[in-house]
Amino acid sequence: MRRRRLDLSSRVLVTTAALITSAILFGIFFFLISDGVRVFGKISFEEFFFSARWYPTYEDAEYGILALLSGTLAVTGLTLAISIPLGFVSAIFLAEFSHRKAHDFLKLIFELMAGIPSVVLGSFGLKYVSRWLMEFFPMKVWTGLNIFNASLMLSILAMPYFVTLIEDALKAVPVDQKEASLALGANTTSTVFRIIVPQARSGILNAIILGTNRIIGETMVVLMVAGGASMIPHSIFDPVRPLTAAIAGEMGEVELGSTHYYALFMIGVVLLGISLIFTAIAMRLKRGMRRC
Amino acid sequence: MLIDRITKLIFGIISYTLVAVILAIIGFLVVNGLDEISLEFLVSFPKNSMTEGGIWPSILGTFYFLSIALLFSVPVGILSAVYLSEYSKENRFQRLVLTANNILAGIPSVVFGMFGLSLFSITFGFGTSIISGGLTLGIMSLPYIISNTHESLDAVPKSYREASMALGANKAETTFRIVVPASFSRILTGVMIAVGRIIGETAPLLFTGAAFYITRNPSGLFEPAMSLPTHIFVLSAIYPENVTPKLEGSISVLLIIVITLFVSVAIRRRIESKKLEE
Repeated sequence: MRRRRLDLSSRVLVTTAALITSAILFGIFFFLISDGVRVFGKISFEEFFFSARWYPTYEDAEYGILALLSGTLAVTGLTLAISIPLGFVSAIFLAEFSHRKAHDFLKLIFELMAGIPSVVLGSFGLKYVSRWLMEFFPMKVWTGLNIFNASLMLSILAMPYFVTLIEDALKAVPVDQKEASLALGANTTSTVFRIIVPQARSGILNAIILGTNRIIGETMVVLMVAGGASMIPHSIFDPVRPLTAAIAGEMGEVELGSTHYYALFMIGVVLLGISLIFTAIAMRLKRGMRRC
Repeated sequence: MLIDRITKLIFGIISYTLVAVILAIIGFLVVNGLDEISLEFLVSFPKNSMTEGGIWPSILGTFYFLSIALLFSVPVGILSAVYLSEYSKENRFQRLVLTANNILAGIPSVVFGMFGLSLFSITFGFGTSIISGGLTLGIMSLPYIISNTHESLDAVPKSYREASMALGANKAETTFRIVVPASFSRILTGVMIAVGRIIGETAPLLFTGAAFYITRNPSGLFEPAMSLPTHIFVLSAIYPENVTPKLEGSISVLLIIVITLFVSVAIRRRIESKKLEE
C-alpha cells in the first residue's frame, strides 16, 4: 500500500512541477502585457511605435521607441557582422581541421568565454575600450561609448554561442557524405564548403537565430557601453540607447503606475514578442532537421 | 593537398588569434585586480563612499540570492525534467511544457526582472528584497536546469528502466532510485552551469533585489542586499574614478569564482564523455 501511495504521490509531484513551469510562462505574458497595454490609454499606438522621441523625464514627456528600436537593430547588426564570420571560421576549424588536442584546448577557452559575466565585459568596455577607441580614432569618435564598442563586447559574449552551435551543426552531417566526397577525389576544403556546410545549413541558421535572440536581449553591456543617447544613429561611432538598456536604466527610478512605468513594460512586451518569434523559428527549423 | 593546408593555416590563425584575444582580456582583468585582493578586502564593508574597505556584503548577498534561486529552480527544474523524460506521454500537455521551456530559455533576463518586479515585489508585496531577487533569478535559471536534466535523463539506457521494472519496482522507485541516481553526475554539471549564470547575472537584480550601498548585513529575506555583479555595475557606472582599485578587485574576485566554476564544469564534461566512449 505504502509503495503504491508513494508511486502516486510522485506522479502528482512531477506533474505539479511541470504545471508550475508552464504557469510561469503564462504568468510572464500576463503580467507584462496587462501592465504594458495600459500605456495606450495615455499615448497613441502610432506615437509609441513610430515616434523617435523618447524623453520620459521631460516636462512634456514623450514615449516613442523608434530610436531605441533603431539602437537595438544597429548594435545587433554590427555584432552579427563581427561574430558570425569569426564564429563560423572557428567552428569549421574546430570541426574539420583541428587535431584532438588543439580541439580540446580551443573548446575549453570558448567554454570559459561563455562564462564571462556580461557586467564584467560592460565594465571593460566602459573603463578601457572606450579610452582606446578615443586614442585610435581621434577624428571620428566623439564618444568612446558607442555602437562599435558595444558590438565588440557583445561579440565576445555571442561568439562562443555561435562556435558551439555551428560546430554541432557541422558534426551532425552524416560522415558518409564526407567520405563519399573525399573518395571521389575532392579535397577537404571543397568537401567542407560544397558538401558539409550546405548540408548543415538549417543547423547553422538555427545557431544564428538563437544567437541573435541572445544579442537582442543582452542588457548590461548595452546599458554600460552603448552610450545611452536615444537618437537614431548615423554612424557606428554614434551612441545609442537600445530597448534593454532603457528598461534596465530607467526601471529603478520610475514611479509605479506612471505612464513611464507602463511604457517600460510595453518595451518588455516588445522584447518578449521578438524572442517569441525567434524561438518559434528555431523550433520549426529543429523539427525540420529531425525529419531529414 | 596545398589548398587544404592553406585553409587550415588561415582558419587556424583566425581561431587562435580570437582565443588569444579572449585569454588576454580575461588574464588582464584577473591580474589587474589581484593586488587589491586581501583577506581584509574580502571580509570588510565598503567605507568612505566605496573608496575604502571591501566587498563582504556583496559576497554574502550573492550567496543569499544564489541560495534562494537554487531552492526554487533545482527542485522545480529537476522534477519538471523528470516529468518530461519519464512520466509524460506524447500529448498536448507534454508539448506545452516542452514549448514553455524553449520559450523561457529565449526570454531576455531583463524581462524576467520585470516579471519579478511585477509579481514578487509589487503583487506579493515583497518589495526590493533578497526573496524577490532570488526567486526572479530562480525562474530565470529554470530552463537551463530543465533542458540539461532532461538530456541527462534521456541518456540513461532504456535497459536500466526495464531491468528495474522487471524486478517488480514501480515507476517512482525506478525513476528516483535508478534513473535519477544514474544520471546524477550529469544533472549536477547542469546545476553548476546554472550557478555560474546566476552568480554573474545583473540586470534582473537591479530592480528586484539589489541595494547599491549598505553598511550592515540584511537582517532578513525581505531586505535588499548587495551582490558582486551589481556592485561591479555600480562601481563602474555610477561612482567616480576614485573607486577604480575597488572595481578592479571586485572584477577579479567575480572572474576567479566564475572561471573556477566553468573550468570544473569543462573537466566534468570531459570525464563524462570519456565514460560514454568506453
